[in-house]
Amino acid sequence: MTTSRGTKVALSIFAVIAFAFVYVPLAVVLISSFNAGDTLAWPPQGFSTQWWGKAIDNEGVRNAIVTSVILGLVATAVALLFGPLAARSR
Amino acid sequence: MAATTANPPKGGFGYRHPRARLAALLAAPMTWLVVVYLGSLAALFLTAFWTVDGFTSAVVRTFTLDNFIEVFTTPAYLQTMLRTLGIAVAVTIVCLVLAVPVAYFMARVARPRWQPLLVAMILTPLWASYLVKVYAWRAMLTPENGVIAWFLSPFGLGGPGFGELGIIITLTYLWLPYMILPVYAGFIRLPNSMLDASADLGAKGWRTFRSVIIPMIFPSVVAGSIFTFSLSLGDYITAQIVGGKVIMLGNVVQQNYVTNLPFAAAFATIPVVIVLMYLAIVRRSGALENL
Repeated sequence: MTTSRGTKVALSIFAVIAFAFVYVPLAVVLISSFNAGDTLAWPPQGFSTQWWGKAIDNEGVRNAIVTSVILGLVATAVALLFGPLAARSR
Repeated sequence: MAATTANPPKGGFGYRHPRARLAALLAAPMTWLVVVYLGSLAALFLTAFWTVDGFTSAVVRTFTLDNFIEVFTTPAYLQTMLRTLGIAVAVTIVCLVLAVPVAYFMARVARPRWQPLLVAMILTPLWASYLVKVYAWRAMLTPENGVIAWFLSPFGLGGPGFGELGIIITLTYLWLPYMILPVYAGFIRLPNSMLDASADLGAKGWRTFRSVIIPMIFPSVVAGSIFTFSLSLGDYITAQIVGGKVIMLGNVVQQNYVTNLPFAAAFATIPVVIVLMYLAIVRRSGALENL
């Protein structure tokens, strides 16, 4: 392999920045979920688990999770049925 | 020997009737493809030539080209169309600029035992909900108390805020994995012997990159661009959440489909036609075999 050392270092730094670009917004969501304030503002106004508590206590949220899981399983089953058939019949 | 050829092995019904077997295998996927998928596209295209009763908004099934004439003669609609096209091209270019070095790093610089982990790290955000990711970027981009504005304020700078730039950043974020993965696969398939041959013939790194690597991974890049381009072209939720006052093609469709379904259908036909044209152009590059 002919990649020079300098190129490798530059590529590694670039990759670290790119992975940061991918993960920083997700980290912001996670940190914001423990925010004590009630707006999506940065920086957070203190630590609190009230939003997690409210989400778990909310029956609509729990039902939505169950619905999502059922839909995911059904969609996977249908895709598993049709996908191989479509690939096989080429 | 004669005895065995006189009694050929007996197979089941499918073995003796290869055409029936093929029909049975094809029935389900063909029904799916033709009725559900192509059927809905055909319905969209047909609706675009109808009109509505101006008073009740009921669809009137008379043939007319008025919807397409309105789309192409109203400056605001033309502007929206061009803006959407520009955003989709910009997102594709930014994804490309980010994806090629990252994919090269993953496939050729990182240690082989790290590769599965890196691929998993690129795939993981696809598991997060689309809306969560768009709202994450709303939290990043908010002008006064967003993360970027907060980070840049000590330098006396403001964040990009909501608008076209915000849409481009968010869509780039959403579709980046779809560009990285095919390009990564292209770099993995690139034979080392070709790079060795290039070096043996006296080519330096940049020359090898330009004359060997780029032509070899070009189909993978085009395969990725099909995803980034067509997904950006049809998106409208991102524009609603981080676009500020900027609207895209899909927003016009969304605003009209209740009151004027034929007009919305005519407008929705445009991205379909653009994507089909794009597919026709890139078909020759061999990218469709790399999806």
